[in-house]
Amino acid sequence: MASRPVVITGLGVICAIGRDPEEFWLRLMAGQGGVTPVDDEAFAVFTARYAGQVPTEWITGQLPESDAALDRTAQLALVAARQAVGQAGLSAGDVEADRFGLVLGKCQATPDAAGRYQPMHRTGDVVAGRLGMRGPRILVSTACAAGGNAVGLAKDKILTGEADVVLAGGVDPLLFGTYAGFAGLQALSTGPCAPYSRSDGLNLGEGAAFLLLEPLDRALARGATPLAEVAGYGLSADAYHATAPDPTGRGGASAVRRALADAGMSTDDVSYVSGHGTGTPANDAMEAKVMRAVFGDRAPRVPTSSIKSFVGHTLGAAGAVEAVASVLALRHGMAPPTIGFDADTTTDLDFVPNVARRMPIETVVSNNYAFGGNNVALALTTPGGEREYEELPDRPAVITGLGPVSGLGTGVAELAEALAEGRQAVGRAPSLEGRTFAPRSLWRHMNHLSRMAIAASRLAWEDAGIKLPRAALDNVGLIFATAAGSVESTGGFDESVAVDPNKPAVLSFSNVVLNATGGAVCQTLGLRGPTTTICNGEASASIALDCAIEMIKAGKADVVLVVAADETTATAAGDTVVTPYDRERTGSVPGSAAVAILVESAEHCAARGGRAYARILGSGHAGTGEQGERESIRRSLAGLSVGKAGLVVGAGTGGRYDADEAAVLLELVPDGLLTTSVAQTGDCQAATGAMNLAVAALAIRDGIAPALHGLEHPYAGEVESYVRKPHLSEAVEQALVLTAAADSVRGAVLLGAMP
Amino acid sequence: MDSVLANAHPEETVFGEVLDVTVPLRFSTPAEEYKAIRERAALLDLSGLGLIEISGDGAVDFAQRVLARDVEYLTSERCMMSLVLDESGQIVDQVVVWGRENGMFLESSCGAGPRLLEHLQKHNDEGVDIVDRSGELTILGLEGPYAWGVVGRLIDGELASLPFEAVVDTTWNGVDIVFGRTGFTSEYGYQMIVPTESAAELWRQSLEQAVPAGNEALEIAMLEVRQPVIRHEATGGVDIIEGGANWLVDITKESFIGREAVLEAFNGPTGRRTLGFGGGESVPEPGTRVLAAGQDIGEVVYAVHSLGLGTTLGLARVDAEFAAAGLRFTVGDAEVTTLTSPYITPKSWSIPII
Repeated sequence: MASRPVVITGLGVICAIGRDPEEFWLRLMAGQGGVTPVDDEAFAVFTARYAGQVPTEWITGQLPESDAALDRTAQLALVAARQAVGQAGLSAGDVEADRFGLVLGKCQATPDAAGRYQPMHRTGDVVAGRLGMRGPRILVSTACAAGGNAVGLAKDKILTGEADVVLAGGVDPLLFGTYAGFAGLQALSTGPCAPYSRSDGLNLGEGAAFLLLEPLDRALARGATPLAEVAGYGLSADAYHATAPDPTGRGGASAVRRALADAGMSTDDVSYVSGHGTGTPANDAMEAKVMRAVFGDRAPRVPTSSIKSFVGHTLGAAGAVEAVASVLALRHGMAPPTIGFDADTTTDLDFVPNVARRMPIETVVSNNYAFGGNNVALALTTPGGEREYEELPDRPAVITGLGPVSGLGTGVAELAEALAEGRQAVGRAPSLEGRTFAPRSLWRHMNHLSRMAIAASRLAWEDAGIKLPRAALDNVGLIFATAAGSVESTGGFDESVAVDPNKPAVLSFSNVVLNATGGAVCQTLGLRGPTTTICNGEASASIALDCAIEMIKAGKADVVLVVAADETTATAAGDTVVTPYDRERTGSVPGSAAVAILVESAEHCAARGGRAYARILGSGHAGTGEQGERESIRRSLAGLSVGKAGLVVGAGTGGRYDADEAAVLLELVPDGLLTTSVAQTGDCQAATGAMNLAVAALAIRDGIAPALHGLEHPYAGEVESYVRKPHLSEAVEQALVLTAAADSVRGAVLLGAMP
Repeated sequence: MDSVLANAHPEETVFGEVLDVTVPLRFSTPAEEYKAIRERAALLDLSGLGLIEISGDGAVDFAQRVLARDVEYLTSERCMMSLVLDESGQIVDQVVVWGRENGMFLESSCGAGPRLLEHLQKHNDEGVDIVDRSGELTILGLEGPYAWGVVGRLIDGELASLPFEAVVDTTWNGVDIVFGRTGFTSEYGYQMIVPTESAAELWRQSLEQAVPAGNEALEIAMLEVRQPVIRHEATGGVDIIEGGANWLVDITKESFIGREAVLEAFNGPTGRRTLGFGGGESVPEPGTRVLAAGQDIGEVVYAVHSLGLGTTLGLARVDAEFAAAGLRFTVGDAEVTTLTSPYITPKSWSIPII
């Protein structure tokens, strides 16, 4: 029996060809593109000057005055988000705030209203705050595949029962630096792009799109109109190159096949394919191969088109914009054309050249491909009737390998030794001297973040003692978690653009996308399973772990590597001390680290005779709201039986929420000794979340944990309530791990000893 | 040792000895075979290349020690070229290393399998399993600007656009084969490692799509793009800097046999360098003196008649100060000009794989 049907009941979009879905669709049907010369004179330095811009009045005309001071990214997102909620007819009371989730795809780190970089997840926080959403909150950043990826992850959140309604979408503005990067890669067309025919480059664009997802039964019960069913989705990694797609199309084909398998459909069911169609020669050639590989002899009879020919490449929004177009194509029985198509092009494939086509459409596959070799395919269908379904099976997952890379050392043995000795390495960068963890030809060109992440991944793999044949590696998942990606590459790239926009540091540019490091891990380890990248600040690791568990539960992978990495360029003095949870010694210190955790289905681990550290008993996440931090922490813990936890590894960093956290934890987990790895490493953002998971797993198996040696004046309880010496006096049967992205999302994971 | 495909080849095939093996030198005429390599798709009988499997727990450590390039993380879907050196830095062979799930295949140059095997066995301190698979496995090659089309028709279109040095375990005709995108001539190149009992049938089916080319045409095409032909080039105690093979060595690798000698060569006094020259009608013998303005500056390494250039093409080893393109030298009775590699422009560079 199939899983619970999930449908789309609301659409929202704003992009170069429309300020709402109606206008967007009319322009698509009329074949009227929106790619024009860039208005901003600053762009005059580039030879290629065309882009898909959103007129500012389209944005401001749809926003209340209270949103006027927001940055452009948040404004674009809010316009589309409100449209989707509005079309779904979702009014107050239709969904509890705690059960209303948000999955947002973004490619770029975008500036705030003052022009400074803001955390990747901030746009999502603004949308969630304005729309009263306190359920799961995910920022997915698989570059140009993020928007489609978001729709898939949103479905997962409904299937796991964590949310009743999820708003999924993507947003990205047109940024000068990104434009310079693509220009530097010689990837821009000098005129409006011509995907699948002239293929002489892409146009960038901007926009936002959202789709409101809810279970079919729930939608019908509240009288909503299902517009389309999210029948399935597929993710894959090329494991090939930082920017170029695998020329064989294997990765793209694999994503489509996975989406169809997830949907329980065959290639014969597909009526129309919404292509990625950027207009670059590498992409377009690869996509043709995907079509032929997936559909075989039928490929010429499966129309496929690219609406990027209308709106440009809206990066993180693209997958969502195209998903909206796909839903409308299903509703109207019309395939949008590929405009700018050169009539003289010789091809065996049907790219719906220049004129929209009426045709029966029951199923659309919408494809997106991204830097880092990340691929996503969505299978959307005409909604079926209400029907019986099965809940996701209970497939226990276990942690079988740890790869900690921090100032405390590399690998489990060095970490354990550092913990046992109470060694301090606050703010100290990891040393990777003495071993290359990837082929030298790749290693020497890698930035520090990728090196750390690859070292962590390989160490976790080796720690798990896992050996898999090539074919099995094609199904190993990889979830990358990072708050900010490579600071080194971002800084280097920005600096180069500031000096001369026509001489950007292109190697750095390819590493500016947040998923680049995840892609490098896949490439190095040859992993081609489902992959995604989560950027929810310090909560990224636990959200990534959730994704891994969902993949395992849904049978999409037996083995998933969760890798978290972040870095700082700040240097800390050698004797820097941080004491989280101490009211007299506040202040946090940034650090650099990467931590990988190998997650396996318990069944897979047992079958290969592996030795697990711990079972994953459950997890919970809560978006923060107006009720305050303590309430958010309580809600993140609500679904977990935390009373038996003997150890709590908290998210305290020496920051402003330590007091709230300590108070709630001492109340809800009275017998759990509280600690955190931050006292020994500093705040390594997403990597700290993973490090806390790792030390909890280590505590369960080996009875050792980070000790808060310097703690004297705890915010809550007595010092005896905290871990004071690394060797724990009692075996830890259960350990609770907390993660927190300040003012955004709170996470909790409960681990248990192996039976 | 005769080619295992000898019986599959027509009677008029001209065979010849290359080091320790007998291989087809030509099936028709060098011109016709060369044309297939450079303009269409040529089928190569590479059964003269030895195939040695190394496996066991220490296989990677062993390979890291005996190979001059870094193969620590070579997965079963990659292959790469590397030199094998002896302690004095002399070239034992140039190999294609194929990553395998439990070890590696080392593919020798033509006819050099037995000496490579002997070298490997001699240095097997790790006690790894070293097995000569040359008898049971045979290598066929496809090279040419349209070789990808042959791959598509013969096996699978998806394999045609594999990236360079990618390897896939696949099947042809129900037979397990190892398929790699590699090559020697800078045209689109592929190799198929097939069980010997099926090699003749794969050869026969490939013939329907491609023109057979022998070792003579292959070596001409190799020199035209400065692909080393070790038996011609690793002569006279030349070190790898003098021989111009430093791209097949990675000195950032901490340790491998011959590394000290290579470092010494890198840091040593500037001696001779190897470079290409073109011109003249006759093909000079190895050792022919090379003169610059009457001054003896070196000697010919080897030379061929380049069908691509329509003239003699050779390598000369000359004093380093003369190692530049565009100089006029005298070789025997011919005036020649020094060249930059590649000496011809492969057609594949301008032909996309569709």
